Amino acid sequence: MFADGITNAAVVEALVRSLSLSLAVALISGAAGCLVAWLVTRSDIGGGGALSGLFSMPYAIPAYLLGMAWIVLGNPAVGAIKEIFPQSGVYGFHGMVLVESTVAFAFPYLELKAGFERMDPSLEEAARMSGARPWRVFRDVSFPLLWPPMVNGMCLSFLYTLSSFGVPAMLGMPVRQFVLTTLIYSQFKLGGMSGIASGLRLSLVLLVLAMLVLALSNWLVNLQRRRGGAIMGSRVSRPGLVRLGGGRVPVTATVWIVFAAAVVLPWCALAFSALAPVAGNYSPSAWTFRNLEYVVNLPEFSEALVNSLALSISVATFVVAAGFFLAFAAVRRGSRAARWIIEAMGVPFSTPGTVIAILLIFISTWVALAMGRFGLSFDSPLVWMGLAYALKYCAVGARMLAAAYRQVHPSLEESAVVSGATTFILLRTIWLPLLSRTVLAAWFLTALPMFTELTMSVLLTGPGGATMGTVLFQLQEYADQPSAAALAWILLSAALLGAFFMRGRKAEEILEAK
Amino acid sequence: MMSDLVLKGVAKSFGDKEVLAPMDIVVADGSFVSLLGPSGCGKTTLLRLIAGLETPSAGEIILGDTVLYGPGVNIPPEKRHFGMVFQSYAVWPHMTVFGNVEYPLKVRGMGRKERTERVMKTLALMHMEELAGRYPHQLSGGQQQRTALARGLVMEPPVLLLDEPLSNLDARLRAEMRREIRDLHRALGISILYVTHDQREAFEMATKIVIINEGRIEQEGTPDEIRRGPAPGFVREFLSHE
Ligand SMILES: Nc1ncnc2c1ncn2[C@@H]1O[C@H](COP(=O)(O)OP(=O)(O)OP(=O)(O)O)[C@@H](O)[C@H]1O
Ligand SMILES: [Mg+2]
Repeated sequence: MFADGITNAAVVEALVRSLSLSLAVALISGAAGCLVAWLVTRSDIGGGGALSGLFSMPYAIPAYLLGMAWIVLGNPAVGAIKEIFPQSGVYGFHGMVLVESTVAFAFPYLELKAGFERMDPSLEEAARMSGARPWRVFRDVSFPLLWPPMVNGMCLSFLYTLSSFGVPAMLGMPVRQFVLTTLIYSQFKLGGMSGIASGLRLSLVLLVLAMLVLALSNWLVNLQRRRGGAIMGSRVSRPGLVRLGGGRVPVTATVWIVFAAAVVLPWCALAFSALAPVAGNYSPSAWTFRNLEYVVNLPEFSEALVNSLALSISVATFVVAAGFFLAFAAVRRGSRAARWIIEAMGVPFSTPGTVIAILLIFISTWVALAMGRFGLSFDSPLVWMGLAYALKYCAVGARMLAAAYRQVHPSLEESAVVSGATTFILLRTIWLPLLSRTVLAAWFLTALPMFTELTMSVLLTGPGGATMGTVLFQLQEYADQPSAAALAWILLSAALLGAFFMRGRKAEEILEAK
Repeated sequence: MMSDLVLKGVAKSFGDKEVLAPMDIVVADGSFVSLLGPSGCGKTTLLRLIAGLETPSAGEIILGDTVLYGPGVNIPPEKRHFGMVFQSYAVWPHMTVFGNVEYPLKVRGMGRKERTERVMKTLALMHMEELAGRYPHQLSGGQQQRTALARGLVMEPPVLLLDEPLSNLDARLRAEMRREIRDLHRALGISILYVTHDQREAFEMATKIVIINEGRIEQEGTPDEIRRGPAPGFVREFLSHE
């Protein structure tokens, strides 16, 4: 039914694997996110304030960079700590669960942290005063009141994993374990119209699944909003922190170690591998910059750097500028059309990148055919990539800015209107300075993922269309581990720097963007 | 049973900001003590130290012959057996009135029959029997407040801690509740520690008033003593505002 080169059994297998992978990641990240959110908001864990920000960082790290790092660590032949893995090393289902959970953790964590922060802490304190111990308080009060954001966070984790391409491509494809996104990619790579056609049909399956989960998530968000009033603190009261007592030191140590293993260890692994002369020889005395030099001197690297910089800067600027005006029209001028456009932006945002790319490829083929009839040719992968990025990320800027416009008191604007300012002057002299921090944050939150984008780029790329993501993917496919690690190290450092810079943003703002 | 609540040199700082200077307070068994002071003076903090929701920076807290907080001792709030009513009521929205009031008994493992009896008795005391099956969103502010009071009283605690319980009610209801709380205190014979910034509440209900300003005790005494001889300076100034 699906196409020539593909059996129904293969499709069903990929479908089942996609679903079980997403479910496993949702459950693991949900449990971990819940535990850490409780610890940093409600207990006296050591360094809670710092942890609270640090744990929101993984969301900004492209998962495939962590995948690359875990290949360095768990490659069955030369992995630095391959002993802790089964025979196949980090490759296979367990490896995908591990790496995807690290990043997907951020969704339930941020959702629940925001839930705890918004909830009136007296509700829980009243239970303690009634004689309930902390665990009982969680079971009887916190959980019944906060399950919607918790399950919603798990839905987002599920959706994220279902749509992800990089990690299944790096850790699943080498051992012929396909999920929907990688199956679509491999079909497409077969080439020709039949490849595109079966890719399209598979995309439809993926899209339907994603929309089902999204509907559940939206229902949960509305449920929580309706209940909101009953559990929100009327005035900000600070929660009394639950004393962990004798468990404080071990719990604190464990949580910090887990953070280090999730974020710091991969960075170190990439660094070591980038500096090692050959994969497997990690002794500092042999360190060399050869790999880094080699990568930087690759012709594809400079092409990719220019492309990725140009694309992320121009598209992020365009998207944020559009969001700035649209959100103004929607929030401050009550424009129905603008509100409708912002609403519609949510659709591509939640659509798996693979699906967007396949659709654009289909459209571009059609456009090329049509133009060919007039003797024209139009064949620039960069344009289609830019379009794909804009579609995927336009919701981020518009939503963040809409939230920011809503928070400003109308009187500020009215006083300017009274003094005779036109809309344009108003936007430039009042709103832009007022919202400059949000504008900047929105810009970073769109530019960063675009700079390292892989899922859509890898499908849309072509001659002259190399990006950071596609170059890394190629090096990794050629099994050139030291070079791939060197490039991944550069990208991960940039992503971590960006994430660290953004970690102070309130959890809610980040959620709004996601 | 003698269960005086005694604070000896209890102090609290958040970071290097001292919110409460070392202070001694006694809530004698069966008395009604009101902590009175302007907003931000540290009343809630003091109450939370007693409840065990915050940890003092110094001092001792003793109930009867049990040390609740002291050198090497820090009993967690769930084992201190106080009843507490929060300013925001903190009535659980996912439980009925009955469920809310029943909870402290359930946590302590009391049997169902005895529980039901005790809950209905306490609700009767608050004139709330008819509302037992309702959820909080079906209640008025005053009724939510009564639910919170019933929940705090149901396990017959030695001391009931109240944090500005009337500040969210309208003036008429406040007057009514002042009377009711005073009657409750007389009927049940428990100790009450009542935090407020409203002198009317303090003078109308309390047997002893402790006036606090900027984390220090300015004056303490019976309502009559304070009315007759307010300490010069802050207390005189504070009492002159209505
Ligand atoms: N967890 C905390 N961390 C830092 N400062 C705090 C904390 N809790 C309270 N404070 C500070 O301690 C001081 C006293 O606060 P508290 O809530 O006890 O005042 P209050 O007398 O109850 O005031 P109100 O009548 O407004 O409720 C305030 O200045 C407050 O900002
Ligand atoms: Mg207070």
